Amino acid sequence: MAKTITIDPVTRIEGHAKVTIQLNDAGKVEDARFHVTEFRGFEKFCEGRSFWEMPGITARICGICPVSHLMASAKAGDAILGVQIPPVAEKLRRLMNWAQMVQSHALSFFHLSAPDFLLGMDSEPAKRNVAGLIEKYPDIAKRGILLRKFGQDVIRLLGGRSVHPAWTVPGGVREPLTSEKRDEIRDRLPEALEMAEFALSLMQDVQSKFENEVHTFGEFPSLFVGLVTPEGGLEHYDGLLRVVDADGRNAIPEDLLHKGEEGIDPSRFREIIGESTEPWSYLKFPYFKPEGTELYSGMYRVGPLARLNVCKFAGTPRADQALRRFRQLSAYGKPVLSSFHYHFARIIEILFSLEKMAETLDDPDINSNRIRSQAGVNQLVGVGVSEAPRGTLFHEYQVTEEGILNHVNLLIATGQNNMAMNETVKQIAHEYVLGDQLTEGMLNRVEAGIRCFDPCLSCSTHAIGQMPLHLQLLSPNQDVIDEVYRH
Amino acid sequence: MYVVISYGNALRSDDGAGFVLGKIIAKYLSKKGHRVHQIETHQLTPELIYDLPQANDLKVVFVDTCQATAVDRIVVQNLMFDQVAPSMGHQMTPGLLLYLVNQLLNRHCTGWLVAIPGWDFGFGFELSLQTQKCLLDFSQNMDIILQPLFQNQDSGGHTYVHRD
Repeated sequence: MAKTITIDPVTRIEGHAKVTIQLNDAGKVEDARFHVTEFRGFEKFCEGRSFWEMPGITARICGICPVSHLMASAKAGDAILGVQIPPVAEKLRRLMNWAQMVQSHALSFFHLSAPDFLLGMDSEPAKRNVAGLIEKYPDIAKRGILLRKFGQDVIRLLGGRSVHPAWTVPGGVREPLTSEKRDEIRDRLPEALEMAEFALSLMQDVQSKFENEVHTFGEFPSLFVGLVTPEGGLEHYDGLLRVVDADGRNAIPEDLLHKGEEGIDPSRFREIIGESTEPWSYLKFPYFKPEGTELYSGMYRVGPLARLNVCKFAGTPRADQALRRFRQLSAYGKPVLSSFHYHFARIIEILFSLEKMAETLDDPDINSNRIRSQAGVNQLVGVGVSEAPRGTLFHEYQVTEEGILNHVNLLIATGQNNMAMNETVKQIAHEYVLGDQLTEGMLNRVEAGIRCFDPCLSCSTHAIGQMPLHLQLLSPNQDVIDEVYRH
Repeated sequence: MYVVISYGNALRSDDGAGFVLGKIIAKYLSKKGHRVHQIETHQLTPELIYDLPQANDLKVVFVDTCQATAVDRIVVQNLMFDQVAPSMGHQMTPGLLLYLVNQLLNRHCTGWLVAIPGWDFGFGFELSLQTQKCLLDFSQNMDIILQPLFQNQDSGGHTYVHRD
């Protein structure tokens, strides 16, 4: 008899979701879906507001990555003003964005995913969380908190507070960086780097224990999308939008590229990215248009894994060294395909961010007061693009001559990973679901597979929620045969 | 030493009531001669443990708004360590924060949650009339309502509810 298993909601991710696994008459997995069951509608209620308010409003989409929305929103505002912001303002924005990468990635690695790695996928669910981690590995938990604290403190030093700092504005930033604050950040960087190196060695130690998970947690061909510098380096704030296929080749049609460039201006994202919807999820399904409009034909991944796959190099010594090790996980010159390696990629990005912060703080102009370009509305459409911890973030605004928004579109990283997350759930279910036996190990792995993407459903739908676990077994006509809750 | 941690969103009407109440409680404790450290934050995050004062015996008073459907007046609840992290990503429970202080910093700490009911969580700076009335009632009965803060906690984690 065909059945459906439902895991609802998925735990230790941001937001509210459930997973259904459809079994066929033979008890084999027929299909699996990651449903996002919440809705918030930020795009709609932003209409009628001034674009000047948007960084402050959209930052409140999320308490984890408010900085990412600040960046993309302020950049969309820059485009509406039609200005180039002062160089120091850009450096300060980058500094805050790197701090955001550090704090968010540290949280994802040490607190959300480390319990899976260190306590084991088959360990008791009641213990396989941060409290269990503290009990067994207090030093690791402590380092995770301290690394996150460093990132949060840098955001606070720059923006006045760590959550929802109203510091990034259209045209630049509100406050310059004082030399005292610069020195404080600089003094703490060595300790943060040491903790990042520790995370790197920890990841390399545990990786070999999860060979099966590496091959079943979203290991499949897909496209990868991310920003790169004009030279092809790792980029988190600006640059070109690059797309590569599963063989590492450029996937953007030649006629869309300028001569000699391997990516397009990110503000042209609509030329290559479309958005579709499915009736069973509030999360949109963005796709790469040149591959067609069929669901899954234009599937792509964004985020740390994608960023390391689209760049040619990182651009800092320690990160480049780690990137070389990362690239050994795939055949020479090919992208790393397993979503399990998002974790490894996150740590490399922490290293990169810390190194770039050190480099930027050494800039003799970093304390300059020239931090804001002044202008009025000069363009009626503005697109702002930056890299959020979870992937490329697009803010697209249309305004009236007075700067009042009449259309808002936010394309969020988690949404862009939607198809890949669904494929990952399906792949894990195929491997671990045997008949109608619902084992803890299977449930844990489905959740852990989703957590590779570190999804933020608050951002992507854009909503809030809490996450116990609910599992349902359904017959072919959708009757509930069995149910399990995990709180 | 007492630490008063108020949290919420001051831009969402009654969700910011904890900040008002936290200030009142901190002032009250100071007047009684206690050393008080006050923290105001948007949400409880793990790194907050490193912002706590270096005292060995911490008495942590969390102040937050809760839905008026849960309580209809300001209540004080004894907290127990919470070892379950429902979602470590976005926010923590007060009990989990206490657990982190105890386990990671090896400090003895006791805690209470002072909850104020909220009716309006829409955009705005002002508190609803009902929440304002709760604050007024509280200020007139603080000695009674805050009694649990001066008693030795038992391990039952019971809730002390002030009734007129």
